[in-house]
Amino acid sequence: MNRRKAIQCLSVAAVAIPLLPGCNTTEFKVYEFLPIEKKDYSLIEQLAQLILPKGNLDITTPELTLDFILTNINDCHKPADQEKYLEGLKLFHFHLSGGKPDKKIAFHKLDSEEQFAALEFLQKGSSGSESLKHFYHITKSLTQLHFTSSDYFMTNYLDFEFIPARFNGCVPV
Amino acid sequence: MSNNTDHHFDAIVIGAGMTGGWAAKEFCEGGLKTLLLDRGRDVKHVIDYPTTNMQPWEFKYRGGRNYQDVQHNPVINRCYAYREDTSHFFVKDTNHPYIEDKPFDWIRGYQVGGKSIMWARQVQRWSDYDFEGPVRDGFAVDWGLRYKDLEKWYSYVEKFVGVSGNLDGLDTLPDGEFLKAWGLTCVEEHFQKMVKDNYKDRHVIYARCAHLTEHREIFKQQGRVLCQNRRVCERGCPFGGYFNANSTLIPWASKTGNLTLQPYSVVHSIIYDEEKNQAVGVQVIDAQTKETTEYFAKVIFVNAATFNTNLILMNSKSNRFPNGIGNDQGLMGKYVAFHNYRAKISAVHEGHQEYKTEGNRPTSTYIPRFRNVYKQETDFLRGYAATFYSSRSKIVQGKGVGEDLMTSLLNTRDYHPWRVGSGMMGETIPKESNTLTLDETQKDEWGIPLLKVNIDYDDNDEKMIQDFFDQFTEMYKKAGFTEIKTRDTQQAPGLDIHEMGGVRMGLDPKTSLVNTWNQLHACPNVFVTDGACMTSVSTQNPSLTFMAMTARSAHRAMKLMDEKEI
Ligand SMILES: Cc1cc2nc3c(=O)[nH]c(=O)nc-3n(C[C@H](O)[C@H](O)[C@H](O)COP(=O)(O)OP(=O)(O)OC[C@H]3O[C@@H](n4cnc5c(N)ncnc54)[C@H](O)[C@@H]3O)c2cc1C
Repeated sequence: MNRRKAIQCLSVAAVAIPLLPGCNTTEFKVYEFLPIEKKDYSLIEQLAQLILPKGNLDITTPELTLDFILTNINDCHKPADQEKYLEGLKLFHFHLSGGKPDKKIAFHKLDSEEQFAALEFLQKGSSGSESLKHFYHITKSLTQLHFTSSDYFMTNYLDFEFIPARFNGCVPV
Repeated sequence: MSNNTDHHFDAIVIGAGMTGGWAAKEFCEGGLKTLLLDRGRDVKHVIDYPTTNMQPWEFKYRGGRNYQDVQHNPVINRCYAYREDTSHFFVKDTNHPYIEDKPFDWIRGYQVGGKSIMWARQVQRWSDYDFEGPVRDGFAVDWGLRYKDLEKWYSYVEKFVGVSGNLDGLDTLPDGEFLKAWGLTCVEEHFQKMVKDNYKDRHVIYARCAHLTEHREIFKQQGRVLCQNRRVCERGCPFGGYFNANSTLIPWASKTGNLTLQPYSVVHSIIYDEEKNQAVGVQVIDAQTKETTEYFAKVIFVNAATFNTNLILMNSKSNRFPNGIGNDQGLMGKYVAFHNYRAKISAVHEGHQEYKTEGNRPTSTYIPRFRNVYKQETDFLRGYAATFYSSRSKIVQGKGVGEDLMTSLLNTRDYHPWRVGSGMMGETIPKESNTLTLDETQKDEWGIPLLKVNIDYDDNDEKMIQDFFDQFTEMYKKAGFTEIKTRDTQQAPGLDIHEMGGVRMGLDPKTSLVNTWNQLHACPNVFVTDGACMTSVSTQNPSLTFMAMTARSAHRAMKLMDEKEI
């Protein structure tokens, strides 16, 4: 997905769920260690949106949350964890399709109640599957990290300053 | 820069890090045509700091590590300073292999500027408690060198590089030429007071660092301005706010017109002339084309950093020196030592809840050695210095999902309690069995023998770790800290990045390799002024001492050249 198109899709994504109806993207970034399909990408992207809806917040990041999540899993996670993530993703599809193997439901076609029910299922870890827990935990923590490491969050909520030009060792909270 | 086509110079300096940079600066200022060789690429101040102005969110892993890179380069990945924003300045294991007879994490920077780009900038002088250690405690040999020999050179270096510090008045850690300090946090002040009240010979002081906190004419001439407290120093600083060779020494040497800086030049060996009975030059392999060239000079300074300096000298074989130049007694590569960084302690401070810090400080707090200073008092030799840091961060909570999660994340009003911690910097005893040797068969890409490293901890180090845990636990308890946790990282030697020795200094050519002017006893126009010359290692971060010795010896070399002694 080229950057401009990705950003257009994101701005659509930021205002509404279901997502990406007009974005029939044909190109997908290939992640060497994550052999996943188009429906997987949109599932993860929409899940990330559900986990942390950014609403109207004016957040600019160098990459989309989806790209951040997949890049980090692809580049920084060990193969066993990558496999676990993929297995968890598969199990999630399996859950969404009502137990039909190899059938991938388009997540955005679910109504919002169904989407939240699916999220709750992940959150509660009710299936007892370690892979599914891993899938949810990683998707959530990377979504969160993408947000908490953003310019918006660091500047406004962590008082980050790139060039403070001072040090005070003792100031009132 | 002058370009000397006939390959003859007055001085050759091997290695363009902070020690080689000092040698080159002194020679160029003294009017010597100087060839400064480095095996790595050139790194120009500001221009070649590609990440220096990048924001944290611009790094794709946000500080995470690439799994494949960790697998292929495990050694360098263990270095705390090797990160997404700095990795281009560090040597990857795969590119420059060495042989670990015992595990040793050898951390290197092969480029103009060497490790001075990424160093932690901590600078403390040695005192005679350090120089006299070997004599008093019966290890290694007498340095022959004392504090009074170096005192004015410490000042000379400090005034040029800029050091922020307090005048602490301690005999264990002599004061220097300091720019103002940024000061302590309230928790550090609390700890400082507690230590003062409870121990007469222990001190918590502001850790002296090579940063500019005040204007001076000399810094203006160098083109450096005040440190802006960004605390991303290891990327290289566009302000020149901290000292590295690239911002400070090399441009200074260069503007004299006497410097020829030649990157991509791997020194294979020093050429010894059997008729003249002296070193006459160096053999250099082009790092890229692998072509060999020879360069000649009256004096040669070896500043390739401890291990590579040993390697070059051992690889400089001739009929006169079949075991490496200057190595008549077979001592070269032996008695290597380092700083023991294995012991850490951390805790929580519940007090001072109403305070926090603001801005950044590119240093911390320092506790000079207090063990076995005035007399032997423990069942181990020597002692340790330690860091002390304190910080407080906001609580970021990721509770729930959806709107709840967002609400939870955006609530960053509260702070964690203060976290405090210390790391031990232990003196290790140089031992004959801690060695560097050249492998007899395996060579690198440039046809140079691979270095074999055989270095380990000993019983003295283990006892010291335990003592650090006991003493610091007691001190932390007295300060009222809670959740005190000690940790032996079990890390291999090397991550201190303070490896020293192998070409030790001393008065007697039978038991040492260089004299108190850093000249090889057996080949006096070769000077070794980096960490290789260290007879013992003390506890202080060593680079200030390396620089002071280099400046002192460069002046000695020029004097001897004037007098036609070398
Ligand atoms: C992360 C980090 C933190 C540190 N913190 C501190 C600190 O706080 N305080 C302190 O005192 N010290 C610290 N150090 C150690 C300090 O950086 C070194 O002691 C110091 O830089 C040594 O200077 P040098 O010039 O001898 O060696 P280097 O800076 O390593 O320079 C040696 C140069 O020689 C070149 N070279 C090597 N072999 C050859 C060859 N065969 N031919 C040609 N050139 C060659 C290399 O490319 C390199 O540029 C730290 C180091 C690191 C990496």
